[in-house]
Amino acid sequence: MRGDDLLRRLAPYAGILGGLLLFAAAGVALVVGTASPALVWLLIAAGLLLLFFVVTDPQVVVNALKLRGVRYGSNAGLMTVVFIGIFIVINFLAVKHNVQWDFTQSGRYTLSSATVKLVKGLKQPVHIIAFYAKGPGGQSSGESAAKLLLQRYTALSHEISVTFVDPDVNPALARQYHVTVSPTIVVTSNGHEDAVQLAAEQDISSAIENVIEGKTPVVYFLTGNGEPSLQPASGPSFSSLVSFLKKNNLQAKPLSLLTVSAIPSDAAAVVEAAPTTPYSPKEKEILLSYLEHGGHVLYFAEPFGKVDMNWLLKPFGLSVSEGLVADLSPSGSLPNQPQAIVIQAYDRGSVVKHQLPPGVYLDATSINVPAKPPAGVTVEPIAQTSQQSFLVTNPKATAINPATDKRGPFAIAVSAEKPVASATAKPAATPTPSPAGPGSSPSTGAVSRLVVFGSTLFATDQVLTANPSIGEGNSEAAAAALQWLTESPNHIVIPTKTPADRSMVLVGWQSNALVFVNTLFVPAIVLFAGVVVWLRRR
Amino acid sequence: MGLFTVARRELTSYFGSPVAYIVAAAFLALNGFLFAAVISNSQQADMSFVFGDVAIVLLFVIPGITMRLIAEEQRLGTLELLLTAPVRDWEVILGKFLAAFALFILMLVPTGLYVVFLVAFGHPDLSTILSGYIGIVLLGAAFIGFGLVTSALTQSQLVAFIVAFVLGLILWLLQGLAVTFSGGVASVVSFLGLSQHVSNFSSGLVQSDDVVYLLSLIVCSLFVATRILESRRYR
Repeated sequence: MRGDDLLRRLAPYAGILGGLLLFAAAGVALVVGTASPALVWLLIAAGLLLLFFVVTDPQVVVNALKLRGVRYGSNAGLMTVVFIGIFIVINFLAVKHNVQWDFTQSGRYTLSSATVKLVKGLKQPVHIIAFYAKGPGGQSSGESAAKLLLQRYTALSHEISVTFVDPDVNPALARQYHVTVSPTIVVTSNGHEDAVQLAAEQDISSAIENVIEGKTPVVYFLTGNGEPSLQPASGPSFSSLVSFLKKNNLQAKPLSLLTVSAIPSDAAAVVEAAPTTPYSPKEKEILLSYLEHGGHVLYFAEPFGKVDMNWLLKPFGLSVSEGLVADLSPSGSLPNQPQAIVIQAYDRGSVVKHQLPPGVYLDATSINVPAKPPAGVTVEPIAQTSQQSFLVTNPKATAINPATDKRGPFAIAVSAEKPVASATAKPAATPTPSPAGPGSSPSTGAVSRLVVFGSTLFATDQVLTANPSIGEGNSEAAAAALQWLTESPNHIVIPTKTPADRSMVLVGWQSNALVFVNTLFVPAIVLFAGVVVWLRRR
Repeated sequence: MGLFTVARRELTSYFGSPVAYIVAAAFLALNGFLFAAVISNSQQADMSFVFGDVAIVLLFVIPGITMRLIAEEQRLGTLELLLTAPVRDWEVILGKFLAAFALFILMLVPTGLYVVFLVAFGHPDLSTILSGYIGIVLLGAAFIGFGLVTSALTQSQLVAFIVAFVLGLILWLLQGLAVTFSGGVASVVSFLGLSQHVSNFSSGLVQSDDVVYLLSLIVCSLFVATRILESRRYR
């Protein structure tokens, strides 16, 4: 009997201890997140203690359950648990099927129409694997933003699926996709794959297009005549532009016309920029032949260029002026730098299909556009200077002479197009180290295209990296030209979402009003109303 | 009808005493100061940072509005009268919630002057501002829900204020606490944090999961507050 009494006296303590251990187990489960041995032992101990409490003194439990408060309380508790459970399920479903509404005027959280068209037009499954390594706290920088962006893709098409993978947890999968850095987003489809490091619409959409098409257009940058390098260099170089083109699904490769007998057949376009040594007859022939047979050429000119390249432009009726363009209008050039031409708005047309950010053309010359182009040729200006611009033709001049210098506006970027004459008598192929013979038909076929920019410097690292905001506009202009030149029906062009300028400059009284009205005046009115109410009630 | 009677009674009580005016004046003074500071420093017609500050201010101000809702009735003994009146428990809770919510909205209305100011001297993105206000309204309603729960739990207004403030603060900071967890628990803790949900609204992104989460907090708070009130009948 004494033993029973002792057990009964111990039972409540066992019950309390069991409850505490159960609480501790919940804490351990929350912190550790997995079924650790400590958690299991805690649960076993808590279960045994609670069982001991119930078995030793079952009447206490029965009596407690019969209490009115316990009966109603347990009902209310159960209802609360069920109610909260329902909301947990609702929230789970809301996260799984999240819908986004973009309230920004700039459409910051909306995919561009080009991406929407691309994704909605998908006819094959595209799987996106986003490799994000978790930090010490289980968080990964940028993963949330990437999830939001990729949700917009999956909402558009059932063909797109997305998986987030921690490369540290699943190294085999990371190795399979050659992932060496985090984050890396791999886009795969039909055996093709492309990887990007940035969760940005431009990158993701370009990667999707790459894997769908299974190829990347190649743009050859001519070398061998003193042109800017494609690698970072102390002199003029195009490395930033090359990186930008890569993001736009364009692959840049160097090509010396001295080493080939024709432009390679995989050339989607050829770029020539400010050569400093003259072309040999053979080089001229290769380039002209390519252009005449449906080739696509982008030419960056420069003022007082060392080499006359007008022979390349002549079939389109174009020519480059001998002179430097300077613009005196406040919005047409950078402050105190009339030779740094600012193009606020490009001429919309074949090349510029959507609004581009402003561009700055440092040291530009003008391109002469014929009033009446040669038969079949279509010429469209892309960028023009203001009416307050002048063409300084004396290379030694230090200032503009409005009396003698020719007055603008001048075209400093022009596109031209003409159909390939008589089809197309393609010269016979000649074996070369390159994939095709001379004059082999360029990939885009029936029309020859030429874009001329009056400045080379504007697309070089020296300008693009010096000022990122200028660099973006200039890169976009050059990329737009190359996208037109390498155009394929499906090639994606994603406009940059430039945030609107929200700056506001407050003069003295406005700043004072800002502080006085919002901090003192409005609260004082409310307080005054309170005092009035208080006085009335008294 | 009992619902609106309770709400009207509560609103009359709010505006009959100077406390609501003092709380509203403090709310507007604090927000006005923060707005002026943010705009003067950034020189941008952008309210996204201002909404973050408003949310912090609400953490303090809303418990000040809600602390007396039920605690005061319990202390004065008028709650018994209310419970014996022909009005259901949920009507009492919802009525008090609506009254506090109406006061909160009335406090928020003068902040429309900020928008007028931005429009007069700059070019703000009005739709993003609207989205920010949607977030603030939902957050304020959730805080009122917490306040109702804590006010129903105690007779002391001070205790109700402190517990509601701590509850709101914990939920606000939960996002930062998520880094101490791993796996699914980290995701759940991160999701429960209020700051991320509200910052999405401020930056112009309205998501169904943010809206559902904040609405869930409001509805669950009202449900729990009703159950607590109901428990008085069998205690």
